[in-house]
Amino acid sequence: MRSKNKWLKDYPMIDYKKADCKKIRNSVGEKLTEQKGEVIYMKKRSFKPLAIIGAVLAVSAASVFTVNAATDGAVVDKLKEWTGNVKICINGEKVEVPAKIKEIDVDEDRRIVEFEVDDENSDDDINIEYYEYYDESDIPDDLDVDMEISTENLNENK
Amino acid sequence: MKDKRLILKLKQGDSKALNLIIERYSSYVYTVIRNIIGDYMSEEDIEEVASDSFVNLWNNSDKLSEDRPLIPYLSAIARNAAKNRFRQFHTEISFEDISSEPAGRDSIPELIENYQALSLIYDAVEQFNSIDKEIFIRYYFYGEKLEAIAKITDLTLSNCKTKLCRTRKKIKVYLTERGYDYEVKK
Repeated sequence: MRSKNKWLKDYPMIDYKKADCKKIRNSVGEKLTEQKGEVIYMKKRSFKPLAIIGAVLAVSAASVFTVNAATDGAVVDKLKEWTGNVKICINGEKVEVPAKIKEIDVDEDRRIVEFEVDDENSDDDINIEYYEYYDESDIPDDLDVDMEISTENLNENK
Repeated sequence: MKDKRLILKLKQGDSKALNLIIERYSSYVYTVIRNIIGDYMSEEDIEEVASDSFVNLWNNSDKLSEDRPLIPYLSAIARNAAKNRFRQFHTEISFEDISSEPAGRDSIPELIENYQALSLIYDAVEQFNSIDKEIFIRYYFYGEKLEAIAKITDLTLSNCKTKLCRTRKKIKVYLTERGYDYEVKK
């Protein structure tokens, strides 16, 4: 079966210019945040409220919990095994809940870490995606995550 | 991740899919917009229009079909966003003048933005001879100027215009034969 985008290769664009992808991505994030009151870059899948606070959550960058892991090149494997309690600040209130790293993806200039948070007061699976962006391939070997959960500005996820 | 899977995930509201689409196609969308309004807008404006296009894609992801290519739809969204931005800031000159769109109403961009019609247009384009296909794709999917297309295809500008005009007519026939009302209904 032919590729449906074959013509892209057949007809390379005249004066094709590489765009500042990071800038565009950030701008899209800001617009969607404004539009939906939702921080999409740290949006988690099947996002459900923590029973602890009984509210719908958004995740935004700030300081609270930290996972450090020095590496010798096998950082992803080591980090995948990491489990422990994480301190999450929810609207200024600090909550400590058990968590583990579920998945780590590394792209060209980005690392995506998905945490699974275990809330004993809820039957829901709570996953939080944490995105880090770097210039080119300058992704550090260690993981230093700071984040804060805020219930403000989010009513529902798409 | 292939486009098909990205579209499926986008339709499910997965923001990671949107990020990947931005990474994959931001340069394409940027170039399309720059081709259309680059002479009249700053680089920052073009980036703004590009981000508007991806926001539009996110907001209309339910219209997408994973069985169809994403690029023509992205190009239609980008073209429309470029047109809106141009009209917002330039009243002294019409968009039709700068985009060398035909004097009469050109329904193709609107049809491309209509995902159902786009599917038919895509099939129609596949049946054109290579030169007609190239002119059509460069003009409508890449936003390239007819002067530049004429140069790269080694045709005169008027020959290029004629071929594009004939192509539009062929698309009209193709759509009509398949029961599609060529005139865009608002």
